Amino acid sequence: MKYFSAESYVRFNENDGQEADTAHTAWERAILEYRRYLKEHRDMMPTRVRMLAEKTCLHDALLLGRQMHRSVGQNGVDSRRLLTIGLQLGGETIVLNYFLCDSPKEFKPKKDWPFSKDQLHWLYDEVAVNEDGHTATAPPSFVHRVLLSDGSELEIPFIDLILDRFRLRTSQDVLAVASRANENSGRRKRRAKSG
Amino acid sequence: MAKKQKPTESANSPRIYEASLGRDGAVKKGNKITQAQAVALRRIGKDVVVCGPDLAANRDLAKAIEGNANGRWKRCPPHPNAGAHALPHYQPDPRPPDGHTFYETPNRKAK
Repeated sequence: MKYFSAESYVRFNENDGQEADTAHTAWERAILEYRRYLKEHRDMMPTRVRMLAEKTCLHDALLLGRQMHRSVGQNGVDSRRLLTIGLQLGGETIVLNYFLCDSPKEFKPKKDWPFSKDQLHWLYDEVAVNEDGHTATAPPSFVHRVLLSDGSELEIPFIDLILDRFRLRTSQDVLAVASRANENSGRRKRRAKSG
Repeated sequence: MAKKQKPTESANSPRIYEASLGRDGAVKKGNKITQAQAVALRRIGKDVVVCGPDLAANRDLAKAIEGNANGRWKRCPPHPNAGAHALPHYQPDPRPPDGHTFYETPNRKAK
C-alpha cells in the first residue's frame, strides 16, 4: 500500500494525543494525494476500473472467501485467470471478479499487529495504474492493493473487473412478501364471492 | 449569599447525538443524548456521533463511549471513497455489535 498502509493505520490508532493528531493530518494528506493521483491517471482507466478507484467504498465489508479460476489453453498454458472475492456489506453480498494479468500476491501481517485477526474484513484499498509495458497498442493494466483487518495486504494485478452486488433477503423481507401474497389472495376471494 | 452556579456547557465542549448513515457515507445527526445513553445505544449496535470544534476532545469522548460500551476498540479513519462527510470512528475489535461511534474533525462534520 502506498497511501493507506498498515503502518499509517496503526499510527492513526495511537493513544497519545499529539501522535494521534499527527497521524490524523497525515491520513487526510494521503487522501488528497491519492485523489490527485487518480485524477492524473483517470483517462487510462476503463469505466469499471474508474468506478472501483473513485466511487467504491468496501470499508468494513466481511470477507466471505476468495477463489482463483483458471482456463487452460490448448498448449497447456494458462490462457485466462480470474480471481473472485466475495464480501458482505450491510444487506448486500458483493462479488469482485478480477481478470488477472499476473499472479496476486499476499503479504503477511507483521507479528506485532495490534488488532484482532477474527472476523476478517476489508479496511482500505487503492488502485494504481501499472504503466510498465503500456504502449499505444497494449492497454494498461492495474493493481488493486487491499489492507485487511488482520494486517495482511493483497496485491491484485488485473486488466479489468466486474463488480456484482446482490441484495440479501432477510427473514423480514420473506415475511413481508408472504403477507402481501395473503392479502392479495383474500382480496381475490372476496371479489369472487361478491361477483 | 451567592447562589451555586450550575456548570454550563462551553461552546467548545463536545456534544453527543444519535446518528444514522446517509448517502455517500455522510453521518446524519439525530437527537442530542447523554454519554450514558450513547453507551447504551452502542451496546445494541446503533450509531452515535460526537460533535464539536475540538478534535482531541471529540476523539477522547468517542473513545470513552466505545470503550465503556464494547471494551476493545479500533479507530478507523475515513475511507478515501466514503465521501467528504464521512467521519472517523471507533468500532468494536472484533465485531459484533454493529455500528460506530463517529466523531467530527475540523474539516469533516456530521449533517
